[in-house]
Amino acid sequence: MHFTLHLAKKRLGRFATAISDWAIFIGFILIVGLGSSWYMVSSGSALTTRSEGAWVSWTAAGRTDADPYTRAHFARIGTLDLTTEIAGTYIARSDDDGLNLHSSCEYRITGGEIDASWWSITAFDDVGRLIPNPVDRHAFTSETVAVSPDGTFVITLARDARAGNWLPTGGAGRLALALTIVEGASSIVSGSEPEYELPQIARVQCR
Amino acid sequence: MPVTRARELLKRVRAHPLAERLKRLGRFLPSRAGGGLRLLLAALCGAGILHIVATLAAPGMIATSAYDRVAPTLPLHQVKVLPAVTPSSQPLPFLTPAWRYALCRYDTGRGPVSVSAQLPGPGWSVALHTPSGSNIYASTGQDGRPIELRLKLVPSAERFGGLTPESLGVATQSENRQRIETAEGIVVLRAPDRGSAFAPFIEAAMRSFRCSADAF
Repeated sequence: MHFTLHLAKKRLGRFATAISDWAIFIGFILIVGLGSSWYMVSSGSALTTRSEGAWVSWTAAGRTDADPYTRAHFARIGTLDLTTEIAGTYIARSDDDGLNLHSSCEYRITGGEIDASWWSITAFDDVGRLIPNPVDRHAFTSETVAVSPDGTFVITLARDARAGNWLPTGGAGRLALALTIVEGASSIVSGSEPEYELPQIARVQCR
Repeated sequence: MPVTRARELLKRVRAHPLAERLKRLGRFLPSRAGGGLRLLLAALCGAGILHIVATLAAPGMIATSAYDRVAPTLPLHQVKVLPAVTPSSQPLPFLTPAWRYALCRYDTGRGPVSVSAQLPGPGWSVALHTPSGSNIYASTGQDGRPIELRLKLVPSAERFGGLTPESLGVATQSENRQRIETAEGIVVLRAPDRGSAFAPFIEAAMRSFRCSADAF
């Protein structure tokens, strides 16, 4: 009886070891396979995105010949982007120092003349929702932003009212800025450096 | 000295319980290489295949694409002008309120679809978005040169779409429409929102946006 029990115990132990070995093997495949796919789809790589300071753009957004990562990315986030053949859409989730944009901080967005037919800068929370605010202001465009005599502009991203171009952030937590440039002087598709400089995002202060 | 250290490190790695397991599992795989190595290669191959399958399958499996969210709310072959985008009426993420939007869902499986729109100036655009998210056609407004767009969406160039209005003796003017091959999707007219002072002008231009199925 003892011998049979011992044998059964031994076989069960072997079986459990084999099962756990295969679990590790399959777990490795799942984690590496799905994890790398998720990373490439959500964050992109140098093959699919282009960065200019804090701004990141998917180079094949909306194109008919877009790569699978770009297709999966936009299917996942659910945005309706214009093709990069006529417009560039840039998203910034951090300032120029690489620190996450947050509504508890104040930021100064400075830009020069953007050689494009039209552009807009919009403030969202980190999942792309507009931020409710008392003045109902969410974006500035090339037509609505107040420009200095030298052609430059300054937009202040802050919770409380500021003079000039103020973009309210309320209590949204983490923020994302979207910059859309329609028919810029250089095409984002070509991969060449744009002839315009994208606006810079500098942190002024945090509370 | 560094060679000795490396040997010691290799010994430690080999003696690790995980390395033992890798060796054991590797015996199942036919290869001339060592058990652990061939298992690692097999795992990397498996992970690579899974990576490719997951990436390619993602757009079809995810039901949160812009088309999936918007299409069910749009009547077929009818223009729907969306109200100004606000935090309480934002149909899609990262949809900028700097534009006003008019949309039309089309399906050329039931016959050709005619689209016409005015693009009075910079910032205005018309784009055809397919269910997969591609822009198969896009046009933007130009400074000082209003554009009158006339498009004919057809299922394919080979398919017979009925007699032209001219051959039926109905139309008085010659058809001068750009033909675009497409099955289904959404036409989106984007108009820059320049504030309440310009609202009547913008809304009038948006109302001129037409989208209708052609009668045979």
